[in-house]
Amino acid sequence: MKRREFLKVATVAAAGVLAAPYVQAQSKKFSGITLRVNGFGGLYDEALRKAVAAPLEDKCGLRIQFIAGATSTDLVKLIANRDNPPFDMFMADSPYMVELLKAGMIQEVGASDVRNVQRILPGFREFGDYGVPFSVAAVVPVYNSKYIKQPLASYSDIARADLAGRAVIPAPTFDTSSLYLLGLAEENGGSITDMAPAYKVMAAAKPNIVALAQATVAELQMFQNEEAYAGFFWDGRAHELRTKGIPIVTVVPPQGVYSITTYINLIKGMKYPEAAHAYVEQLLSDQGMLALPQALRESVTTDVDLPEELRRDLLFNSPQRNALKKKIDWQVWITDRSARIEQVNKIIRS
Amino acid sequence: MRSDFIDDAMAASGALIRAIVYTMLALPAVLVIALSFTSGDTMNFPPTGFSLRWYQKAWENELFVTALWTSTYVAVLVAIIALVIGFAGAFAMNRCSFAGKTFLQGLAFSPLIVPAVVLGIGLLQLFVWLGLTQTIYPLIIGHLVLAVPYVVRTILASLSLHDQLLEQAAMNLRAPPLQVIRRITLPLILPGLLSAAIFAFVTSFGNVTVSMFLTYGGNVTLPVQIFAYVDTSYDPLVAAVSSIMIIVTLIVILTIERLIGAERLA
Repeated sequence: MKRREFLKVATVAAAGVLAAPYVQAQSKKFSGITLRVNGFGGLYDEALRKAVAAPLEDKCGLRIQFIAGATSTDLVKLIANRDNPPFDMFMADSPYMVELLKAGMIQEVGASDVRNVQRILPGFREFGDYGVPFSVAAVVPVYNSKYIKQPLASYSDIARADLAGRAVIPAPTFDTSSLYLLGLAEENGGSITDMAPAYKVMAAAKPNIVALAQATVAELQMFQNEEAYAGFFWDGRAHELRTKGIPIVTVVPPQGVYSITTYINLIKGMKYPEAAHAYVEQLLSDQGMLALPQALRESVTTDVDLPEELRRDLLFNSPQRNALKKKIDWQVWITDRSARIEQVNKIIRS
Repeated sequence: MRSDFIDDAMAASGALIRAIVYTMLALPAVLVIALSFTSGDTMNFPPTGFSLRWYQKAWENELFVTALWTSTYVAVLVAIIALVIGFAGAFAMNRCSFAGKTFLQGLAFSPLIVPAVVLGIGLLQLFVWLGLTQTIYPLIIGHLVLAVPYVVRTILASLSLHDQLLEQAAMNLRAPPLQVIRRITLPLILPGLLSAAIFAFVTSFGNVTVSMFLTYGGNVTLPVQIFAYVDTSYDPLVAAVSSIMIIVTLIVILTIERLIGAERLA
């Protein structure tokens, strides 16, 4: 090798070696940062870890720590520690968003912060620029087709005489899974401020109801052990039962479907908003958005293209289906919680 | 003749009731352990096939293993500290007369009266005020609050039952008070102390409600991790992890039983 050539090669090699750490630092711009997110546990966190956290760590060195717990207690911890929040980002279902907003602990996220926000479907952002929706779960009528030969078609069908002693419904204590009551009201001429029609249907359905499930797992087990043949249940969990060989059919009521949306929020005053925006960007990307549908068959909130096997299973899988998603005034829904619990308990326990 | 019949009937019904009670107490744990060995993907009884794969998955699951470690060291620490506090409290209540003794007794047992959720929220607020929430201390102190009443009660019973003449004899022979406690009192109430330690360990190791409010960052305990897991997933992995919890608890109890004998522990 001639001297001139050698010098050229050596210069290029030296420049490469010197530039490598800089390039590495640029590509791993969030290296050393860990964001703490409240976890929902189990497959939920696992799916987000694989499709959102892991690719993000590979791309830009950002670490995400999901801290297992229950949303209700995590919310109490968050509000109590206002000056030193235990989370940087907070995952919350629609009803909890009301509390978060009331506490003034979350910041707005717009399309200027996270480009993929533009991809969110119309009507899926219930709280303006607060909270970025990334998943939807609906409470729908379900039945076991092995035992129930005449398909259920609406929420009100829970009162059908052929379901005597074979229905299970979630306890009214939860703001999320008790949305079926709103379905019963609106299907029968009532509204969120006039729940009387719902209680009328509940009274008629009383002989059918064998249990008010206090937990999703308890209800899941009742369907799995065929102690109950019909009821109201989460669409994703109904799919889980189908994968276990239980012929549970999910009903899509033509008058509308009642669902909760799960949001990711940035806590006000958090140290690394740019890193949190990167997380949200990845969450709303095609890869991130398909994580929960693939793991739990929860519906998407963006215009992501659904693979055919997912489209078949998801409840909100087309513009027509999305149009069935009912708008809910969460503030009113939460305020009337005690009245609902009292009414349903009166009906069921009297 | 008639009384023999009544005695036999009473004995038989007693045995039957005992059998029912023991079965009801043991059955949930037995079912969980049986389900953890299933080769299937669902928690159905009877389990299908035999496999250790859920144990392997549990072992490979970093979250559960970390949580098991957190629960174990918190429970061990709580057992040791509760024993020290509980012995001091019980000794004072048993041996001394002082103003506010009844109040102290009531205070020692009050955490048993307050619902766990209320206690959890109260402790959270207290630690926020102290600026300690994002440390391990709230978890340890919270569990101590729950464990100390059991420890005090158990040690108090031991102190009341043992013969104080031996202590008085030692003091007569000019043994200083600390030496009397170390050489006479503690060895005599050792079974009670170890029972109290077991109570404290089990109370801390299995607690969910208070821990939910006091865990922070990576310090999530195993029951909280299991509780969060079952909310979104219901597979035999939970049974395997729960079985590990049962096994750890049993190991602690059996080790102590081996050391001092079951009769003395009772």
